[in-house]
Amino acid sequence: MTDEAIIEMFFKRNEEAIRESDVKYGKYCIAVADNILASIEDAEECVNDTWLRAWNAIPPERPNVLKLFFARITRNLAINRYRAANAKKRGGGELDAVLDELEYCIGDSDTESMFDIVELSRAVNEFLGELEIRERMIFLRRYFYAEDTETIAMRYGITKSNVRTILSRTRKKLKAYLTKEGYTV
Amino acid sequence: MKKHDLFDSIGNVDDKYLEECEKEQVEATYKPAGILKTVSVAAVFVLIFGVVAILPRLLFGTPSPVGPVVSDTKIDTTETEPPTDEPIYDDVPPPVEVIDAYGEATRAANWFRLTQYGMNIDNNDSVTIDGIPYYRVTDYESYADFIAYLHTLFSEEVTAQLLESTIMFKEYDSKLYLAPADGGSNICIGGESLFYKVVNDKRIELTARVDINDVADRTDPDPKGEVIGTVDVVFPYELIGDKWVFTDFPDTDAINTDSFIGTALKTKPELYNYYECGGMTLVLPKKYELNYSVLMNSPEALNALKLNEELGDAVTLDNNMLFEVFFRRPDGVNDGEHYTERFHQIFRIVRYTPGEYERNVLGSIVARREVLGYDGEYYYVMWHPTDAVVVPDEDASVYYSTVNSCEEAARMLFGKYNGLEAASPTDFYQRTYTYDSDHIYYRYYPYGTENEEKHGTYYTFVLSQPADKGADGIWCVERWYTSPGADGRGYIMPVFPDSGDLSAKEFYENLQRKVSAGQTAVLVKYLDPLCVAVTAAREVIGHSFAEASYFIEVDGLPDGEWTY
Repeated sequence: MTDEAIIEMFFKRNEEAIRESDVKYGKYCIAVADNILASIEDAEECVNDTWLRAWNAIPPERPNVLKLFFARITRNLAINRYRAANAKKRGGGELDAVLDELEYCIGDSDTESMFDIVELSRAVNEFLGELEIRERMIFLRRYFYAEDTETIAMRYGITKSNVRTILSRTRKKLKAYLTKEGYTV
Repeated sequence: MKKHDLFDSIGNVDDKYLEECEKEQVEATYKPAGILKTVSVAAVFVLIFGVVAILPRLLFGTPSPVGPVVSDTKIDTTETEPPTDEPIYDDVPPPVEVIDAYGEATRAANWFRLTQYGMNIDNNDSVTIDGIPYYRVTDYESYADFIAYLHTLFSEEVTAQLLESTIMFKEYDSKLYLAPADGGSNICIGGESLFYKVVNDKRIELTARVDINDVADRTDPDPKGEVIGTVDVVFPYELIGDKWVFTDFPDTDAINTDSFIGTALKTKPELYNYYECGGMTLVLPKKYELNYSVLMNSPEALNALKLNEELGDAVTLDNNMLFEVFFRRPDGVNDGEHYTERFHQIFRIVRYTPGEYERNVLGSIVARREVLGYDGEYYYVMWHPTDAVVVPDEDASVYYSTVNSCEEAARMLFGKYNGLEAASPTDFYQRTYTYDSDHIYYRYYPYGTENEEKHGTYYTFVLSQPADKGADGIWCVERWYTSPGADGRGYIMPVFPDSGDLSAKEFYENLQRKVSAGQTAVLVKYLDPLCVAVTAAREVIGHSFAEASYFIEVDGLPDGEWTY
């Protein structure tokens, strides 16, 4: 079924929309959640929540790219679930490592400072726009989808060390960029 | 800021970047050997990195090891999963490595073909070899280092071919010297997508699927994708000894794109404007329509001109002219007026009878004209203005884009659209003689034969029998050679009779019939080669004083270098 048809079903409040979404994008969304949660059961629950959120969001929203729309919802739900479950302990999926890596980019400013999340998102988008396409894809595979380096290496046919090198180089660039933009101290 | 905040911000990344990630199909079609043991040796794997902007690739190649310079991604999702029962090769380079190597090899190959981008030279360290100044390349300690570098990219054969293809690189005192030179690129060649195929454990084939741009986009520095076809070029990457190198590296700029000419006329006719005159149609790219103006030799156009006496006086529309195309300034000043200083003629298209064609094209040593075709009755010729063009800086970009694009459209499409036969003066210029017959050669000394030593000036007349042969055949001067210059060079001047619309051959056949029928005193001179030569000196060169005593018969063509 086409994305347009699925979206139409959401608009007509036809519950088949959820089943069709699950058929088409269920496994994909589970993979997104599993990267963060490292638990298929948790990921499946997370994706069930994704359909509910989508049901509530469409309408009025009309996603441009349905797959990415689901991916964003799933990612946010997974992160929330992860945070709730790991408030006092570490472990689980790749997220710990991912967050630790990102910590480097913010230097010593890992504090509760007030800033505009919208502005920070804009800055991150601008930074991504300056990257070469391969750097950008690898960066997003790691820090958006929270994929492990082995999966990324496999995906792009390069070695794990090559992935780590590219990520390290990109993080340095991001740190410099955020410093220049005044987001770090 | 907390790390979660940064992570959340990344979650708000633009859709376009996520789409970029999602589009790539490598995961579905390619797994490096050793991880997925079902990879087919014959399967074509689609790469994630297509290189779209050809110019950056041509100029800059691809730095290694960062990866290709990519301005966009092309993905082909039509490939199917490879069969699962084929052997596996564990040690072949993965796609990204091969693409990197391809980018670097492209840059190196372009040093020989296009430009020496990225090479540093020492302007103070030069040598002159065969009259050409060469400058030392400081990027390599020695010539041997340069060769060694090329051998990391190419096989010895390809390296040798590249080195032999140009005189730009020289070894001097064991160092590498360069005579910097830039070449033009094929504006018909667009972007390319790359496909990776493992043939066996010693051979990979990287295929560049090269876009062929439509003529309307040929001169656009930033083509917007009016692609009318593709051509696949294979770059074999092989294990030679202990290293992987390209064992062939074709020049994609050399792709013959002739078969694509006119494709867009059928598939995208809306890309063009169509002007009709005299039963012929001139096709010009619509893209530049605001920057050109077309005058047609039609009653309507002439009547319009008569409305303005000043313009009408300035215009001389000869009967041969069909179309005249002018550049129009972008600001639209003087819109509709063609004959002002602000409107520069780009070209005109004329048609000639065979006789006119011989006299005006073959017999006229004038550059800047191109033959567009022949319809069995007329030849169609594009003339370019020979006057100097002064283009204001602010107009230069649009001027040259417009001129080049309009010229290319006429050059490529006029014959195609109007169903003309191909015609070219080249065949004529490659022949030594116009007519197949015996020949007589005369040296003509305009200062008299007794002054030969004093002046050293002489012309060589070549006489032929254009109709009947032997004693009853008439003679003509078919060409003459100018007096050689101090450097031993000179020009060949073809001669065609004032035959009206008839071709010279028809004219001479008619003349032959008259001579054979009557041999009147007026006509009998055509049977006497010396008389024919003297007449030609008087009438063709304009030496009314010429007489028979100024001519000496010689054995053949003059020595030296002669050109049209």
